[in-house]
Amino acid sequence: MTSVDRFLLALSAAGMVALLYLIFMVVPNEKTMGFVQRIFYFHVPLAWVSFLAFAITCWEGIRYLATRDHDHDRVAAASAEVGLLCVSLVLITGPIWARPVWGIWWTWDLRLTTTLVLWLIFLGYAILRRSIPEADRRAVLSSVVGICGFAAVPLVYLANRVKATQHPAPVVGGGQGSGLAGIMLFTLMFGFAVFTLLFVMLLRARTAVARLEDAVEEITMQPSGPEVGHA
Amino acid sequence: MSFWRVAHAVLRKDLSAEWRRKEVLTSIVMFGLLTVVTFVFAFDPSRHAREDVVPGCLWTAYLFAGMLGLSRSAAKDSQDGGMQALLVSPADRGAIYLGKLLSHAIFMVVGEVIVLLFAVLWFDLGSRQLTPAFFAFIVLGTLGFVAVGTVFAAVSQKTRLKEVMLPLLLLPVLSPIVMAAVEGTALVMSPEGPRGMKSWLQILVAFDIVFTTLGFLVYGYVLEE
Repeated sequence: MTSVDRFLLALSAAGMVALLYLIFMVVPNEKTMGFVQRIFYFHVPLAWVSFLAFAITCWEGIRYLATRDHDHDRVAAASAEVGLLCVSLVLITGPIWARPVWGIWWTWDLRLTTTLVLWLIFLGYAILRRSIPEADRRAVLSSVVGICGFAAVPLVYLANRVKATQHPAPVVGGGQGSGLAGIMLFTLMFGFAVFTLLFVMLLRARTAVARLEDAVEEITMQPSGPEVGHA
Repeated sequence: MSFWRVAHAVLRKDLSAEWRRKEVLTSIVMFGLLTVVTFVFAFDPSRHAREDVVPGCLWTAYLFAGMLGLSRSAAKDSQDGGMQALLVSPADRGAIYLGKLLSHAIFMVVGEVIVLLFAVLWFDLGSRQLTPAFFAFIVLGTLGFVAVGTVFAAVSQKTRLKEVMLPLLLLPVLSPIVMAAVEGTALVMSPEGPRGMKSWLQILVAFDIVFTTLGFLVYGYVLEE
């Protein structure tokens, strides 16, 4: 762990405590939705982080194909893993909110369907990585799938937009009548910052682990390396 | 060899190999027909409006049959070492992609038309439904399908899971094609007329452009791995 990592860990831990305090002790109850609305301060930043994560996977995939530097592939893989975790949490927190507010766990609307497809695309990406043992081949093929997968996301969104939508319109900058009270907006923005920080921290940590894994593999694959598998 | 001659040669090679064995087309047609029949058993079409059942039924059949065909075609390439030989030559990778894309598109469209002939009989389709717009959706949807499918079939062949990998990767990415093709075809067939069809066509065209370009750029990386 480098000093940068330790700093990031401390900062995101402190930020997360402050965020929890804001969400549960400071922010007032929303008028119509009540207490459950507070999950929104986790849900929206997590959704943002997952899109960021998959954008990084796509970008690092392009860079890997251009440079053949395995470090880009490690970052792409780490980002996809953290992103998959975040989308999973988005898909868990969403229905928890939807059940009391909408009266249903799930509906096939614009944002829900897009998020679900995003989740499926990167679940496929994760399965793909696990089904290719050779490092070079795994890096190239998953870069290709990462790029194509991310390129599909805007089209999935557009296709779903043609249908009617039930998801609440964006509360910030969503046109007339939208907007948050001061402290609510601050908490949301603070949430964005803290979750982005947490993401960067996890991304760096996961990439470092991947570097170690590759180093271990290189050592054990060498003919003169330590023998493994003795019973 | 120039770009177009390579693409043409790859296309001709695939077509003549298929002409001799008829493996890909047979699997597409048989699987397509069986999917339509299974659909009929699962959703009794006499109890639903035609435009509610037929587009979804046809496109599900096309997608699943198409994936089977793509897997077969990619497996044949890697088994017989044909692709290896092609890669030894200095042929442009983009041209190989184009040739493969066209041959897959031709297999698909021929298979789709044969399945459609049966659907015409079974669902009593006529000139009211089979308009030029109907075929525009088939061609544009199929192009998008093979644009991604050609790349992902080659990817899947190089994994341990082989053809099982293909649907896992392909179906989520294809979801805009599925929605646009099914909804668009339903609008074409609906008695109220094809209003709102344009936005679905636009999505298909956008998808085709994006993924043909991407496939063109990345296919070489996949082949050489």
